[in-house]
This record gives sequence, C-alpha cells and structure tokens, in this order.
Amino acid sequence: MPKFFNPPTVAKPGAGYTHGVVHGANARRLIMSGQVGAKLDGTLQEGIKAQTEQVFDNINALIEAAGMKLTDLVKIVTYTTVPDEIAVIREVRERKLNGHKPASTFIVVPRLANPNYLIEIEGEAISED
Amino acid sequence: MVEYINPPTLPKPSADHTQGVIHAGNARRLVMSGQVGRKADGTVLEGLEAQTEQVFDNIFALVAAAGMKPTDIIKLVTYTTERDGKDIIRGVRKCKLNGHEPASTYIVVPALAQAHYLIEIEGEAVSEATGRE
Repeated sequence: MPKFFNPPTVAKPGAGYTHGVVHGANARRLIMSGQVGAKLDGTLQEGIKAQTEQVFDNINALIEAAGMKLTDLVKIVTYTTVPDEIAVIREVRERKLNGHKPASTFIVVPRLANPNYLIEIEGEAISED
Repeated sequence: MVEYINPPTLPKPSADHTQGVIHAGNARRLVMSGQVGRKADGTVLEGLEAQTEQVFDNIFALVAAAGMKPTDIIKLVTYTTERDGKDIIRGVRKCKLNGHEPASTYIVVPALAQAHYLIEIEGEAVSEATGRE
C-alpha cells in the first residue's frame, strides 16, 4: 500500500490532496491518459460540474479495468479552462474520491484538445504486491 | 509485459492513443525532459509541423540512447502554444509513432520556455525485458 503523507515541514494542503506519496518498486503501475467529460457513447457532458463528475467516473472505470481500486490512485494532474471554478472541481473531487487524497497538481490552461472540453485530468495508480 | 488497455467502460480515445498503460515495477524506466523543435546543432526549426517532427526525432534519439525502442514509450504529454494545431500535431505523431499508441494528454498553453517554441512534449518509456534485445 503506497504511503500518503503530509510532512509537518510543509504548509498543509489547501484541499483534499496529499503532498507526497511513497511506493515501493515491486508494484503494478497504471498510467492514465488525460480523461475528459465524455460519456461512453462519446457525448460530452455540459458544464464544469458534470464534466468533472464524468472525468472521475472515467478514471474510476479505467482503474477498475486495470484490476485496481480507487485508493490505488497516487497522483492526478488537473487541467481546466475555467479559472474560477476550483471550488466546484474540488467538491466533485472530494465526493468522487470519498476521502482518498492523491498527490495533486492543478493548472488553468487557455484550451484543451477540443474547445468544448472544460477539464482534463490525468494521473497514475499503483498497486503493490 | 506492458499492457495497453482501452476498456469498454470508457469512451474510445479521440485520436491515436490508449486510455491506460500498465507495467510492472521491476522495469527500467526512462523519464524524458520536455523535448522541443531544436536540432542537435541548436537550430530551432520553423513552423509547427517541422518542430513537431523534430520533437519526435529527439524523443526517439533519447529512447535509443537509453537502449530502448519507440514502442517502449508509454506516456506523452503534449504542450503547444498553437490553439488550432491539433490536426498537424496528430498527423505528425501518427506518422512518427507508426501505429504505437501511448497514454496521452494534450494541453494548449500561453507560452513555453522560449517565445519561438511552438510545441514541447515530455513523456516516459519503460522496458521490462531483462536484457537488451
């Protein structure tokens, strides 16, 4: 099980994430492509909240397909084109991750691959033997 | 064995990439710095297409120097300053990767390290073989 930690020597995380995660090398590692708010049928959800919910549903589906659990998620990088909706994104993240807090990075960008994408999240998961 | 997965529970990738890649921990892993459209002699190529081609040539040179193959590339993150460059970049990527489809993320950014850099791609490669082939 990877160890999630917040050292007392670094300011506390501003939201539901962890500063550091340590894992051993005898592990399976899943690299995830950036996930967007597209449903299985290819339809794009509307609005930042619905797209963020879909992103986490996609991440969860990918993790399950890899034979892993949501709590194996060690890192996410969030890219969004909506600069002032961090509260919404955090609320969805905390609800979907249900208390699990991967190492996280958050970046506002002018555009993603499709102009209708409001958010894209990539990351990785680790399951130790 | 590195496993590339596109599970039926996720939407199909919109381009030539794979949703997830799984590898074991007892592997050699190459972490690549972001590569730009700069040739070995330091010249920066002009235009998005030429820069993207050079980026992949640099990535392949790095992979080869690590004793790996282009098919060992498991992840790419593309940063570009060209808002509408997606088709050009995908075209070059598809041609250069020749059917290989790493996990991918694509982001448009306002600027890179130098004003004339139009694209930068970073990523990683993994080889699980015990020795060189």
